[in-house]
Amino acid sequence: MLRALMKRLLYFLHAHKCFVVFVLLEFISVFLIVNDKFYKASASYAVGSIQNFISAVKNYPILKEENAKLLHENAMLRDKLLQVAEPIVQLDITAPHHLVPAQVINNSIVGTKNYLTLNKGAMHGVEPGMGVVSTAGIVGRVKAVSDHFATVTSLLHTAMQVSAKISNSKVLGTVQWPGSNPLRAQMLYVPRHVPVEPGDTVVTSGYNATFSAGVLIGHIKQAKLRKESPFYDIELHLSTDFSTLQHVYVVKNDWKLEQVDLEQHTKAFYE
Amino acid sequence: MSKVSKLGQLANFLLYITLQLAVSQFIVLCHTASCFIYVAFLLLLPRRQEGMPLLLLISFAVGLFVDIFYGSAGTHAFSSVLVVYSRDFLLKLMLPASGYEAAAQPTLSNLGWKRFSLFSLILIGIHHTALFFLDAGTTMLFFVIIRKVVFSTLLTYTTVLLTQSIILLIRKR
Repeated sequence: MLRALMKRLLYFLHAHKCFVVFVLLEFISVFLIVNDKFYKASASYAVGSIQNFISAVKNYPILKEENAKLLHENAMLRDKLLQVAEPIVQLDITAPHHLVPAQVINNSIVGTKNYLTLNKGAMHGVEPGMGVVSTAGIVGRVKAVSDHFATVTSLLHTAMQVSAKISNSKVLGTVQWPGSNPLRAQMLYVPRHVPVEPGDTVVTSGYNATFSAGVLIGHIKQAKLRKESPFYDIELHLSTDFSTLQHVYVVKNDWKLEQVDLEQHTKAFYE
Repeated sequence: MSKVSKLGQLANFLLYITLQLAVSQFIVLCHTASCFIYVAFLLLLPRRQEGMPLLLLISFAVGLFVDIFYGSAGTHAFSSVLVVYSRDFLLKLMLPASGYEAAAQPTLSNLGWKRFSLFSLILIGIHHTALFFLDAGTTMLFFVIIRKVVFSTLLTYTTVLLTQSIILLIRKR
C-alpha cells in the first residue's frame, strides 16, 4: 500500500518535475527575502573587491572634481578652526565622537529598501549600528561589517527612522523616508502647538547616540496642518544627494555603549 | 545542445552580466527608471523542453548572483525564475513547435523585431513587476511602483533591443 503510494508520488513528481522545481526555487527565494540575514553576503570580501574595482573605474573621470570638493571642504574647516581656536583650548577635548573616512563603492536609490556599501570594515574600527554622515548631511546607519567592507542602511530605507529636531524651535520629531522620491522625506510627530515655517533647518537630535547632535538632515519644504490631526504633515528637502554620494564618514561614538547600557538599566528598573 | 551553442550561452552570460554590473547598475533616469539588462540573458536561453529544470536552476543562480550586488535578498532570484518559467508558456503560444523553430533560441534574428518586441516586453514586464513589488514588500505605494515598473520596462527593453541589433550588425559583416 505504502509502496504503491510512494511509487505514484514519484511518478507524479517526475511528470511535473518542471513545476516542482519552479515552486521549490520560488519558495527558497521567498525564504531568503523574508529572512534578512542574506544581505550580509554583499559585505563579503569577494563581492566588495569587485564593487571596489568597478567604482574605481567609474570614478576615475570625476576624480579632479572630487579633489576640488575635498580641498574646498578642507579650507572651510580650517577657516572654522581658526575662528574657534581660542575657546577650544579651554574645552575638555575628550569628545566622544571620531570620524572614519570611507568611500561609497555601491549605492542604490531606486528601491524602497536601499543599502550602500563602504570600503571600510571591521579592520578600520567600523561596527554595526554606527552612524554614517557626509559633508552635506546624514547618510545612514551601518548594518553589517566584514573585515574590509561595511553595508549601510541608507536613510532611503522605508524602515529607517532618525530622531530629529527643528533647529530654531528645538522641537523633537522623527524623520522617515516614505519610499518614493529620493530627495524628499517626512518629519513625523511634530505637535501642532509649535510654529513651523517652510525653510526651517532640520538636524539630528543626538538622542539615540548613533549620530552626534546637529548633523544636517534637510530643510522643511512644506508643513501642512490638518484639522483633526494632532501632528503636522511635514515634507523635508533632504540635504544629501544620494545619487552622487562618494565620500562619507562613519561616526564612532566611544560613549554609546555606556549611554545605551544606562538607559536600558533604567528601563528595566522601572518596568 | 551543441558545443557551439554552449559557448554562445557562456558569451551571452559574460556579456550581459558584465553590462549589468559595470554599466546598467548605475543607470537611474529621473529617479524612476532603472535598467536590468541581465534579463536579456534569461530571455535568450535556448528553448528545450526536457532541459527546463536546468534552465530554472540557471536562472535562479543568475538572479542570486545579481541579488548580491544589489544587496537585496532573493528578489532578483524570484523574478528571474518566474521569467524563465513563464517564458516557456509564452514561447508555446507564440511559436507552436515546428521543426527548426522549436529548437531555436528566441533571438531578434530568429523572431523578427515585431515578435521579439512583444515577447521581450511581456517578459521584462513580468520580471520588473515581481521585482519592484517584492522590493517594496507592500502595495501601499502602488502608483509609485507601477510608474517605476513601466518606465524601467521600457528602458530595459530599449537596451535589450539595442544590444541585439548591434550583435546582428556584427554578425552580418
